[in-house]
Amino acid sequence: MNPALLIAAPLLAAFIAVIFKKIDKVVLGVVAVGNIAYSIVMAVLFTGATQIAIGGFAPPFGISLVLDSYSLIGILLVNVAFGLILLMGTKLVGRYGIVLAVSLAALNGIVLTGDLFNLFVFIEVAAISAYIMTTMNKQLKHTFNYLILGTLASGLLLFGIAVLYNMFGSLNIIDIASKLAISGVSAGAMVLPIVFIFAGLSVEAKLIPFGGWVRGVLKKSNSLVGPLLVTGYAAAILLVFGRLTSTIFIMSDGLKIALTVVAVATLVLAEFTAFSKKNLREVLLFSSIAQSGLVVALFLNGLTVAAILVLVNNVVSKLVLFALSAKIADDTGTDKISELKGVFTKYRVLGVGFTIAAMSLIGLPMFFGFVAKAQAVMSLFESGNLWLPAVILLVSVIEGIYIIRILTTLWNSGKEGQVPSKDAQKEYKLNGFVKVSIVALVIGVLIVAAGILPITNIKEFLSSDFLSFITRSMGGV
Amino acid sequence: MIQYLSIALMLVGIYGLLSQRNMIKLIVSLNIFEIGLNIFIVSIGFVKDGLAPILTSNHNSSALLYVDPLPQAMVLTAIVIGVGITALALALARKLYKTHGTYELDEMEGE
Amino acid sequence: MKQVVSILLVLAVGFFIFSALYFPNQGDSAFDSYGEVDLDERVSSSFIDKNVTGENDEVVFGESANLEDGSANYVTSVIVNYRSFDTLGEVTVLFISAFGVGLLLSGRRKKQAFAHQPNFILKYGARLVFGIMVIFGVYMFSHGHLAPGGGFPGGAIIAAALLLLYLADNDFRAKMKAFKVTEGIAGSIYVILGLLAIVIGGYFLMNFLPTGIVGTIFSAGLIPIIYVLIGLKVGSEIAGIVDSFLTVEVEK
Repeated sequence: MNPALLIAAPLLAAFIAVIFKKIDKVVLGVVAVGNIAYSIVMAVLFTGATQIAIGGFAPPFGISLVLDSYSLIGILLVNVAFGLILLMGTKLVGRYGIVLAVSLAALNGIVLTGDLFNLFVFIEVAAISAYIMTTMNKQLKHTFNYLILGTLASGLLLFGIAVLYNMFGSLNIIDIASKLAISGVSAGAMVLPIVFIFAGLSVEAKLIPFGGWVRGVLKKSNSLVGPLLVTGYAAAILLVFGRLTSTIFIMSDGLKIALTVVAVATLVLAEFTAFSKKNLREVLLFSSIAQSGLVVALFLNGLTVAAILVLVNNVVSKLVLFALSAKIADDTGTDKISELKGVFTKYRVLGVGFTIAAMSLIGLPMFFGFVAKAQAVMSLFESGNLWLPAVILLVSVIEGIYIIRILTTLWNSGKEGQVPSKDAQKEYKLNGFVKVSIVALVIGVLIVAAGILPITNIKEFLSSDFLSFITRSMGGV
Repeated sequence: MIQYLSIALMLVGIYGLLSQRNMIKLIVSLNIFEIGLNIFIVSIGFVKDGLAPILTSNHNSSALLYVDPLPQAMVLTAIVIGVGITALALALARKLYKTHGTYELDEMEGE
Repeated sequence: MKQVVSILLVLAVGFFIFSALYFPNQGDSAFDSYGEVDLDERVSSSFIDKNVTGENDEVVFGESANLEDGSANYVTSVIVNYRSFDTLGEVTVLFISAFGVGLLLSGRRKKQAFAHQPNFILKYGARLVFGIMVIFGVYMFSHGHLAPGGGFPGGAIIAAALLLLYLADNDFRAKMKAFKVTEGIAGSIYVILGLLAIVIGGYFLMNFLPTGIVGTIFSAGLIPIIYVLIGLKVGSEIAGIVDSFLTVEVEK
């Protein structure tokens, strides 16, 4: 089982589609389905963490892909999210099929790679595909700003990587981690590379002060680009954060607190902004910025399992919420919450899917989100951190208020607290919503199932294997 | 010395990115930043008295002292990526100029 | 006002970089200063001795044979052999941005007219130079494993030759479809060679051909083949970008 196929297949598809323009959608569909199937097969046949060398040169000399439970979760998440988004937005692909195929390859590369410079290359590929895809939204000025900001950020990332190479003479993440453990480089010397890598990743991860591009680029997004950027891209970049924080981010306490403050500031500010917004997609965008902040804060404090659970919950629920909102906005011409009163009374299936995803996002019991948030708060308490759980609970309340407000408006066409009269019913017309509602419902069922079933096994599987892999590769037991 | 200058060049590029609002100037600033960064990366691989990392009939043995080839390979990749991004940015700028008639980001209406 | 804030911010960043790299606190110095580098502490020392997969004492130009990597140019051996995966990504970057430029500047297009009508000497002199430039480009990407250069500069030179024709002749316009096909075929063969290597050697993008004697033209296994593919691909991609920029949309 060679995970390089997950990257090679979409690339090959893109190159072939350039020659035969007509078949690009077919090829894209085949590759998306094939990638999902292949990643599921890999997960089933998974026996233990390994590094797969590319070109036959063992790490740290050649480039290697890391295949462990952590990256398996990543590729499953990325490929399945990509497939579902493609399924819901097939009509919008247009001439962008090649770009989408390349972005799929890049996202898989970001999640799998175990080499810092290779990571930079894949982040660039993903970013350039994102710039091109966002031109679909006809907000070219914002796309230009995004391009400038993104390129500056990846330059900073490359600077950090170059400094690390100078210090350790290697680009392999696990090799650097083991050299760190052996040579005992002080935390002070690591400040510069860590800060630059953090800054470089925070544009795509949408952290303050680099997250400003999101609103401009995506507030009028269609149901293909927006969901892809807030789910697939966010998941891949945040997983890189996790990979780096658990291996080479040896931080002094001061630096750790400073970076955590950045992440928490993102969380709080974005939630408050989301609270004040009146448009569905803008609310969801700021909410996903906030969730990124939360995930990064958890990763920085070493809570990998909780961070992954929160991330998965965010990706799954945002996928449904954003796709449905963009779909509604495309067909009705507006996504102002006040103008969409009672839209779900006609399209009940859509409504149910939306509601389940929203409930899970807030973290109500019975839904998967509850498990994730509970895990986060509990493990923070266990590690003796008290202010962070308090902040998380506080913003969850804010999040709950605005989500419930949206839900009541969308379900109830009349005034609050009254049974709506027939004439207040506004007419909405959605086209071809069957596919979307099926996806929404299936994900909804999964969310509820994951919320009720005990998931302790997954947690153990995750924590034990990933950590033992690190210790083993550092020369431990 | 060259390393200090390359970092200074990067800082000049960052200054341009922060203070300018003209699309062409922004793209130029981005390129200045990237050039500074590339020189910095090459300078990381420099070894005192090292040869260019190519075997020739004059310098025919790997036992001689060569400079580090890996940063040079990294820079080649970074240059190509920079070219791609610059082309894309210029295409965007041209498209925006066609609709708005200006290269100044602040003078654009309606977006 | 904006200038002042920018200057202050840049100075802060600069102070941070300089103090951390060149004036660290006691015990925090891990950054090798300029020129004071010990290659034995870096992975590249194995690239120079070509002993990543096995023991190897010394590489001698024109004598050593059948090494893990047969390129006399160490940068080439890093780019196309040891870190070939990066290069695949790099090719993809150029591919996707050329495609994006084509998408942004699409529609029925015609050549942008220049104010001056080029005279006879310019028009036909440019064609003469065009041939020489193309030959030089081909030389460059086919000798990438022996001399400085390689697929990327070679491809850029070929595209520059095309740019010359575009500038020197108002009526000239290349057929873009042919370039698209070249680009697609070259990229596909690169990936297919990589996949073939999984079948033959078990590793993606492995160099599965015999590497020959270091320093001869038919050496280094797959490296010259891949560099030729990259040269063709880069040439046609940059040519596509040139075409997009030197044409304007036809008014309907």
